[in-house]
Amino acid sequence: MSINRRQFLKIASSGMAAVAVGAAGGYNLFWRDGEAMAATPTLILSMEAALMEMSDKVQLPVWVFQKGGDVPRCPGIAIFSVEGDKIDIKITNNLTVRHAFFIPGVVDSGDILPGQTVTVSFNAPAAGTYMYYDNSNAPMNRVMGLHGPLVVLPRIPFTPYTNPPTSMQNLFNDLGRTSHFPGSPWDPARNWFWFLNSFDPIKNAAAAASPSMSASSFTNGYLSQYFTISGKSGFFSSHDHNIRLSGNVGQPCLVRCMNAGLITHSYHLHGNHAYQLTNSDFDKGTTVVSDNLRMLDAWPLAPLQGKDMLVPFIQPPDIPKSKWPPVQEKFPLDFPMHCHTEPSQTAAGGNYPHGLLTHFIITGPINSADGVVQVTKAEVRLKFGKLSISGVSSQPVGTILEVRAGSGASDTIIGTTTVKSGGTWAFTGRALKTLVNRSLSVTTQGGGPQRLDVRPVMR
Amino acid sequence: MAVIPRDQGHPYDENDPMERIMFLQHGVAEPDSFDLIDRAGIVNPILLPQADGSPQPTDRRVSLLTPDTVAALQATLTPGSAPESYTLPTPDRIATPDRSFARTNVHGLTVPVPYPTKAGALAVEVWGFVDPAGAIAPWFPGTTIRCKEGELVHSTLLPKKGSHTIHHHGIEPTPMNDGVGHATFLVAGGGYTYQWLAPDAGTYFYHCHKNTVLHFELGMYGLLISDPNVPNAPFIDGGPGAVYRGNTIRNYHKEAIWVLDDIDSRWHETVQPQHGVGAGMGGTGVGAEFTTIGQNTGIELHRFEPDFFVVSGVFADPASQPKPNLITNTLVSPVMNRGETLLIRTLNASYTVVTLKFPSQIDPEVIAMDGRTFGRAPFMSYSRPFKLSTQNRQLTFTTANRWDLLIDTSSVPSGTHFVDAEFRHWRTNDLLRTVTMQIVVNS
Repeated sequence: MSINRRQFLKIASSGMAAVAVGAAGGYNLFWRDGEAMAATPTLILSMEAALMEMSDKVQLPVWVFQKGGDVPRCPGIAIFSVEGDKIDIKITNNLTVRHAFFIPGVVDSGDILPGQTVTVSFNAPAAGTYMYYDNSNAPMNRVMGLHGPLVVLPRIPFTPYTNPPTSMQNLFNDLGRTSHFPGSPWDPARNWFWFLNSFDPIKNAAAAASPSMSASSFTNGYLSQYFTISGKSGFFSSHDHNIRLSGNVGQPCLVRCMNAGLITHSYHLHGNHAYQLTNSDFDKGTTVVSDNLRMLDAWPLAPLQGKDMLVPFIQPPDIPKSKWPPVQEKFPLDFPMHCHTEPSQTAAGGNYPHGLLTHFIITGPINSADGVVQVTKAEVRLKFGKLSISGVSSQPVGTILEVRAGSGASDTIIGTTTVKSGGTWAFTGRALKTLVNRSLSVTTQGGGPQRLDVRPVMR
Repeated sequence: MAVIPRDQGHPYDENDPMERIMFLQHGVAEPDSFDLIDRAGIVNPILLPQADGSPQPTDRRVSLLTPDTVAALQATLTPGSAPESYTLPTPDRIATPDRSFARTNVHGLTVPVPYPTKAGALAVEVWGFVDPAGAIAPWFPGTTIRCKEGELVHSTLLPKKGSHTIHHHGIEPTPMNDGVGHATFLVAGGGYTYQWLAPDAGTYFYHCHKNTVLHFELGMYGLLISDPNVPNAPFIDGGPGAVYRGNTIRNYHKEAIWVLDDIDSRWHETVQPQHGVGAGMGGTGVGAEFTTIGQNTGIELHRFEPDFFVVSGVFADPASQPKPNLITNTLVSPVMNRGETLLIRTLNASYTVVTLKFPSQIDPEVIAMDGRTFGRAPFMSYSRPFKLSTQNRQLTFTTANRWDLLIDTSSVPSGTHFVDAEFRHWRTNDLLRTVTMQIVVNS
């Protein structure tokens, strides 16, 4: 798909610093609370050396993918795109030995020599979660910090995947619409990353001093002293709203769990069990989207494994029903999420719990102000010039929705519809204006929830 | 060179009292249940408010409890009374539970081991939990907590040797009833009663969540089982009993409990005795927020190299006959009459990655994981039970995972069938030990 339209790049709070590339740049599908925007046609990355401060203020040498104009981060910036869109990434190696940019099964830059700039172009693969990393001198360069997430959205993001299996479709259909999931459907803006790595200070120092050392020298005797989740540990990951989950009951969220490190971890969530949606192998480049959804309170994550988990944000089920909402105990209800292979809860050999830990915060009971608009179907029939779009909303019956041509809340209104009983809505109209933009938005009249830049199916 | 700060994008404000409380609560100053009562310092003057009226850093309760509740707690104080004479009341307490448990912790006792420890001993200290009204043995793993789905449960911890907690793992009550030290509070001498509903029928466990890395390894855990709400439940460990398979109740004749654990004897005989129960927690030195790598020499809780492997408290012995590391204890390795149904509840309580390998004669059905039954409405209606043969009769699980396996022995040939448990290192994936359980089927 050619990208001649406006193209935006955003720094945002979708669970990590994030950037949208390709046509996805034109909308704020993921971005909570109106974040700043910048425009660029191509994502610019460089490989840089930096020092990473651990929770106890010890600084370790790392190598990172740094976005042009941004500060260094480890993991690198989260890249968002929409299935099928073209992605261009220009990568400069500012380190002293060869490196690479690699997404298994998707793109492989090959060697990028010191000082060299390489542009990789590829079409965003099937909707889901991917890891980009340096696969040269594996696993050393990756474990030194050269890694980050790529998220690909479906054209209609009712679930995180295109054509999900029946059980998963049923789960997303039920969110916000059945007695066991009161509240709202999944809102794609409710998206977090729990991205793991670990650090052995001796090995990091050795690699920084001798970047061409062999990977086996790096891994032999490797003994982690620090364990990070999305680049932070302990208190710092527990209280960073980009890492800890928060929301009211009835606001389900997606957590993309990824492991760039060398250790098999065991995430344990308190307060809610979570559904395992996928199982990815970021070595082979394969993902299984599950049709048999386990509901777990602990889930393994081996090196280069990924799992997308849906945290339902239900009322914690084992609170006595007559004591909900609690009277003496206060909101927010603050639960931990930690790796249960507990040596990962340490820093510098102790300092429990300054390791792989974050929190899960239930800010309050169901709030009717948390409404969501979701699109389940959008179709343009070219022969008849007809647009059909329909979906669900957790807003009150009678709420007026505006259907717009284009990818933003300020685009032209082409019609309105209302939320019916049962939380469904539908709109049928002429398709001419939508054809120009090839995307649609649905907004709430007078302000409120919106679903921007939905890509209709063309028939 | 650019520095990536530890608080990148979300600056930590040391001058914000609530942020400071939360920071210190991560290891340096976890309040105990008495600290939550004694804000004004009538009994404990260390906890007086600061000069500007802002709360002391240990005063976590102002963010846990409503002001009325805090005021009521304070009214219970009597100057001069000993802290251990106070019991923190359970918030939103319901006076009459359907079932009550009490646990205290065991420490200072050793169990024999089949070969020498790293220090050359033939016994190792392990901690555990027991009912204070019952006999002391067995304490490792702790005495099972067994309840019936939907019951209102009061589980009281009466700690010894400092403060501890109970986290009822997989059960999801309010934070104060969740038993996580760094998120809420530790239970001091006066005790505390955790209040929760017995969860969906299934396999759970409980453990101490203070300095969990050490206390869990030292043995402070036990199984927790929620049985279906049927006559005669809760059942006796070992069976007979009943479970859900999907939405249907299935009876089983016997219940095998496989709690897989590993022990690094260094942690038990060096770290804990030489560095105390607080080893690995908080800063070292006056006002220190952290302990350095150098100061942690001799503690090193990131270094876990197990030398003993245990199933439900039974130590595997490489010299055992007829197979090395064979566990024959009948609670672990049942003897079945052909045609009977066996339920296996398995928990990985180790810090290694464990793979269970079943022989070709046995194809267990996986009916539940982590206390959630496949196919059971409403929350598990997006799933269905599956045969282990769909994944090569193997399952791999990590710390805290539970799998419930149902075996109909009518299709199993008579004889002795071995199930191997491979313990692999969390970092290297090296095979550390293969422990074998057996299922004997008599015709």
